[in-house]
Amino acid sequence: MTTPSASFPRSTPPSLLILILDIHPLSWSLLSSIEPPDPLDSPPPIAPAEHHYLLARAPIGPITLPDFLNVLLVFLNSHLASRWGNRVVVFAASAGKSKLLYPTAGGYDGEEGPKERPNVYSPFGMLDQGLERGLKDMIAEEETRMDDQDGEGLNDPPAIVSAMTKALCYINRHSPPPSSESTAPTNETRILVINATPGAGSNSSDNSSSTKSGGGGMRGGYVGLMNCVFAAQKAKIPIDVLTLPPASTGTEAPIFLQQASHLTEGVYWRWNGRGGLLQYLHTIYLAPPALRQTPFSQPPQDAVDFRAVCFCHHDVVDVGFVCSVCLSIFCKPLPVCQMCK
Amino acid sequence: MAVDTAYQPPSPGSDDVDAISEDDRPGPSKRKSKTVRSREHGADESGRQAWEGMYKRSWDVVQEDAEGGLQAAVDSLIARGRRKRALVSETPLRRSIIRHLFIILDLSESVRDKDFRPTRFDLLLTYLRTYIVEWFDQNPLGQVGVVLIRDRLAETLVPMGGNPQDILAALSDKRKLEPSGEASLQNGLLMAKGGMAHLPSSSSLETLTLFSSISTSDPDGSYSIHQLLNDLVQARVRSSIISLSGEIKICRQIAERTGGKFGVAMDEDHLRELMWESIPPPAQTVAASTMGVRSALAAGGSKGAVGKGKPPPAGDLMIMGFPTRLPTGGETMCVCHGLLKKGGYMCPRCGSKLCDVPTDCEVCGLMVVSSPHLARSFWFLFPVANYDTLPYDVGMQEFGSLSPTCSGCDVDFPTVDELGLNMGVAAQADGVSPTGRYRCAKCKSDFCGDCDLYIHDTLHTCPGCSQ
Ligand SMILES: [Zn+2]
Ligand SMILES: [Zn+2]
Ligand SMILES: [Zn+2]
Ligand SMILES: [Zn+2]
Ligand SMILES: [Zn+2]
Ligand SMILES: [Zn+2]
Repeated sequence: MTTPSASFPRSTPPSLLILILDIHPLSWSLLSSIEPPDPLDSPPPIAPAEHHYLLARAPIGPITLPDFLNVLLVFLNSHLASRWGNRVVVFAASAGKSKLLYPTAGGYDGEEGPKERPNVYSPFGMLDQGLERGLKDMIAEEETRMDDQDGEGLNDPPAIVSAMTKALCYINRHSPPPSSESTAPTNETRILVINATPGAGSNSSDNSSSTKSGGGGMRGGYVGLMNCVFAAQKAKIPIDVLTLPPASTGTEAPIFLQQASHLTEGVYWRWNGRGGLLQYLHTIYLAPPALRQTPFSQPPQDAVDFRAVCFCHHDVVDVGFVCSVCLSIFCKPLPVCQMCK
Repeated sequence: MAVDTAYQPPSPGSDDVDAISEDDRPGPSKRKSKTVRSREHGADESGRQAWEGMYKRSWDVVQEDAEGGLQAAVDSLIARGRRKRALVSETPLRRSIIRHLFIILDLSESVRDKDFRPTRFDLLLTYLRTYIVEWFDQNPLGQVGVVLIRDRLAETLVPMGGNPQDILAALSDKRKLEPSGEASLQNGLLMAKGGMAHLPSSSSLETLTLFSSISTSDPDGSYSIHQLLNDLVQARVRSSIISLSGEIKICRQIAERTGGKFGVAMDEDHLRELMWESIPPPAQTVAASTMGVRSALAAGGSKGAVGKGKPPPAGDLMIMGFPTRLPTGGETMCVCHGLLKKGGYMCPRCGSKLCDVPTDCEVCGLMVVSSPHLARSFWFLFPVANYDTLPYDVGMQEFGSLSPTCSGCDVDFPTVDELGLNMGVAAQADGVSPTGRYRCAKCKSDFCGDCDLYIHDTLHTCPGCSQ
């Protein structure tokens, strides 16, 4: 949908931001150990005051999950502050598991309620504490799970697709899409995926453990993501994507998340590794979709790689063999389609 | 097509509605002139003005639900369609057929008639919107354009494209769809034919005309509609026409000679039926849509060597390329038109730039499609198995170990106490879970009723299985 270049709505409806945060432990350990490509190249430390002038020259450096969470909380608070009625829902995706972090269902079950801090705007306080608590719970759960499995599941890709399906169920239940006839302004909903995992990402293609379940599931990879995309398209929900592993690490972009954001008219942006994340989050992802073209503007969108995943080996293919009846994709010629026989 | 011989319109609820609609029904050659029509619309036998009877039939057909909304009725219509489609898709359809369809919509003054409720115009637009969605569901690689005919002119409302959302957006802007003047079928078909001139003849070219006028007002000139008919036959444009005003000879001729279908809609349901008949891919295409893998391997991948053989048997594989969509930065030359244009797609095999997909690469002959177009049909291939309802006694026994919230939307399930209260009521309804839980047999996650419906109707992916 293109907005006319000169006009934009005077006010926008309350907005529900659904955040899907990739907290895969391996991805974050990679991100927190990014090294500048050439140490001699990096400029001397910059005084904080002139930081924003020299952003482009900022060195490529690591980012840790706690650092990023600090930035993220500021961003989420900005979203809450920018309009009355704005809401935030946070899902986390770890290795093969996804969970709703905030708001926690059923509230606080007794043992320790939220501490009222007199100097903090209460929605901020609730979000900060709720998110911190949810995250700590999930990390503790994940640690015991990993210990029980002897680190077995650690190589599973992050369950971003699972988180996305839950997010869409959540939206369907809590703010269903307006019926096509009604013109009344309804709440606006968008999904923001923060991806930390390098490689084609979110699909299970490069992972041997993922193929074992077989069948139609594909571990919620390519097929699941595409189904989410069409469900989001139908409900007119843009999927924004911020991918953290910078190009300088020599890793591939998450092409399927990029396709998802392209197909739902969301914004896709890849971090360059040079800091400034708070500013990027605010300038690119804070504005509600109706105001993104005018008066704000978006970063120019890259070329979109429309490669697909074959059903037989879960490889990413640019030229494939497609069944003329059921449109299954294979990477090798077969005498007859395996899906429909 | 056997026109309407076997068709019985569903009997409306009340007799007096029948009395009105009987005269109005556009049977073959019943109404020939405007004057007859205006008399019919002025007043009927019972002395009631036509505008007084306006809401009659819609009340009978559409049932309100408890809250006075119409959603339930709409849903049941949609559900009926889905069930029908599920039956249709039992027979193997060649989904890979690249169909190009121009919908030619008659927007002459005649669409303001109220013989189809609420008006022909509103009905056509409403049907078209669902038609487009269904059409793309069944023809993932297809493209659709819309041509309007009014004031004896034709204009392209939506150029040929593969995104249903674009077409839906254009069809919901009623300001651009104001009916006026008379319709020229010739101009409409000519514009549609021109809009498809650049397409490879290997794909299926079709038009569907929704014709409301009694006759076509074509330009005087050397080029007659009969010459156009010959050209359409030559260009293999399958032209189907659905008339809302009775049998029209030239329409039937055009449809029959080009291999299309002609039908006269008797009432709202029949119109819908006629339109929906054109949704499944045609049984046989004019030429092989693309080469089969075996022949392609034999020919070493070059298209010319294969020639125009008969279509590959069902279940055969075809080589397809998935392109890169270029950013809309600078202008570059395309290979399909030889023009400087922004954006476009890059062929993954030879790297040449194509304006639009799906198409056959002009340089290397590879069939280039956008992978999301294929992905539209994935849910047929990987359906989510139905969830089981969780019986009451199991729910009570295992309650301690059950997840307290829905695995989809995270809403709380009823507690033991609440279950005890509801027991008598909820147990009766068929297919409704007495515990409010619907369980996936594969991942053992429990979902609420809302999520159960949403996952099976729209999302087609189980949140539990995908992690
Ligand atoms: Zn393969
Ligand atoms: Zn097949
Ligand atoms: Zn071109
Ligand atoms: Zn090529
Ligand atoms: Zn639910
Ligand atoms: Zn499941």
